[in-house]
Amino acid sequence: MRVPESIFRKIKRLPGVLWALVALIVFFGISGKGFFTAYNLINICKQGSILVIVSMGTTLAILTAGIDLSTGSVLTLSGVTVGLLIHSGSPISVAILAGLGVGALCGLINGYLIAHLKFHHFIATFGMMGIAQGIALAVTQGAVVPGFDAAFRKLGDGTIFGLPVPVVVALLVVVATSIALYRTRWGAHVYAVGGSEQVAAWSGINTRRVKLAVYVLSGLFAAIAGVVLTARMNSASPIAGAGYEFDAIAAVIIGGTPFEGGRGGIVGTVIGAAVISTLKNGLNIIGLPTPWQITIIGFMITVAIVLDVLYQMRKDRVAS
Amino acid sequence: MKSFILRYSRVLLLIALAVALTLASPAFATRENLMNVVRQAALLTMLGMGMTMVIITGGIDLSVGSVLALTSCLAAGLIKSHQTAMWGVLLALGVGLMCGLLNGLMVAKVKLPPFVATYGLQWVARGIAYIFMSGRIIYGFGRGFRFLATGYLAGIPMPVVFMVAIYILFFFLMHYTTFGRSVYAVGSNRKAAELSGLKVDRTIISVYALNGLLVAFVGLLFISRLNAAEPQIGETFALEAIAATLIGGTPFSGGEGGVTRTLIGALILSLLSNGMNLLGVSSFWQPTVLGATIVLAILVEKLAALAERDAS
Repeated sequence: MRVPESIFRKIKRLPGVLWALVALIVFFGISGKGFFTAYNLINICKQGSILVIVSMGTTLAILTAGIDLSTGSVLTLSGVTVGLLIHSGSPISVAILAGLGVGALCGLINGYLIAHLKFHHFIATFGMMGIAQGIALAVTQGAVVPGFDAAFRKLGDGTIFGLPVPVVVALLVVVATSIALYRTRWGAHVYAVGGSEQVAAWSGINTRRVKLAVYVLSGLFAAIAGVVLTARMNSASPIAGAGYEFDAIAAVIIGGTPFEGGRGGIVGTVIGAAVISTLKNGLNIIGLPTPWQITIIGFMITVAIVLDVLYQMRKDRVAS
Repeated sequence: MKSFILRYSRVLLLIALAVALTLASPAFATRENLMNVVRQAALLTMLGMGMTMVIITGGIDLSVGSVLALTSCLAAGLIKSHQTAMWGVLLALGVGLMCGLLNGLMVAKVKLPPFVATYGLQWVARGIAYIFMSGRIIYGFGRGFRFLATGYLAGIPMPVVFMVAIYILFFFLMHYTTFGRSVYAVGSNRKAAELSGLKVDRTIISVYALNGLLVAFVGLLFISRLNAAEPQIGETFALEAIAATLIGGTPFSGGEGGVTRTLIGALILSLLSNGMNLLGVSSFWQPTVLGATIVLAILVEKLAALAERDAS
């Protein structure tokens, strides 16, 4: 049982947010000095990559009509784990694996609480948000873990075939997610669970396993983002991930996947993440302070929600 | 026995915490320290009670922190530019009520999911607060206004006085009025409430409006205590109020729970952070303890409910 949106309808759904992105790029290109330089555009891509990675997991969670509030903290905890392990002399590969393991474990706990113990997704991931944040603060004593050797920093600064490594990692994550979501039965089940969990269960879908996997992936993706961010910053900060959960949720909503779940997808999320990264970079260049950036992103979320409601209302009217 | 434990698990947890802290730290069971615990819990308790009422209808209000920031910034502006604090206070309460009404209308009439409606308003309200303040911080209020949060009435700190007053008010409202009963009815089964002739829309709108009013009031107490107002205040308040509600034992599903539980939930949170301070636990662990407490509180409830079902 697949629940695909036809390609044609998908394209019809895209333009709104895509036009927003184009408009932003034109606007900043004209008004922001230094926006249209290769250096800056690559910078946007690198920054955006980390958000794209995190928001892939958030998209999965929201598609099942859930949410993951813990991604920012899990990102932090994974980054800190990698940083501390490397400093204590572990081989880089072991440290990275441990970091990813920590993220997947956090996701597994979220998933187990939500899928098996029937926790409300908000409660479970809200709890995990605090738990992971506190552990990250406590093990670092609130201090930044600084300075890594060149081999590890390559993950943030290096290039593969001319592409920055963070961009390559983000591409891999996006491709993997899209295969899982659009080319496997599991992906169809994700949509089905979001559309109606009850109906999905009645049609024989193991909804528990679907949701468990969604949250494990969300934790794992947050951890991948944490590793890349740590390499890029050349330090692991115990507050590195603060706010990423919000940006990721924003990317998903702006990208056209509504909180109710069951419709939308990752293409929109990638564009949504691009909008947010461009916006933040551009507003920085123009010189608007962070509070304004938050306000403008919030305003865009509200617009996206309202547009979605209007779209649904029109669709309902056409249908009836 | 099991149902007794299930029913009073939060009270038992509170008592156990208090006993453990009394044994662990001689500084705990002093009048001064206990007063401190209650004072710290006061604002959170008040926000938690409003949140509880919203959650009982099956909703949620994520906008409380932002609405609090908006109303208190607007109030601070007026209070500083006028002789009397009255106009600022009235403006804050008015704007809080408006924000609540807006939330209520979006949920009841436009039929937006409460999470979405209040998530949207959260950013709009915070944005207006930023634009209104445009980078400044308003500080230094008159003695009369400062009395609201720093004064004493018969030796009891004013925030505690307000907390008790609002608790009694909400307890009465929720359990002894038609409005309160319709709040529970709407939350446990909206359709049934509608079919039995309750004015569901009006109940939901009133609940959000009342919550907005309460939030504005707590905001006034907050800036009175802080003696300053800035647009980024209250960013964690919505989540803390939700935490107090959940730890108290009011479930997200609606139709159950109550403000007494939230009072206990807020006291548990306040005791935890006080205890950690007294025992010299690094404050870095605080988020972890908060998160773990929420998860454990819900876990105990789920497991107890399972055991109960198996036994019968």
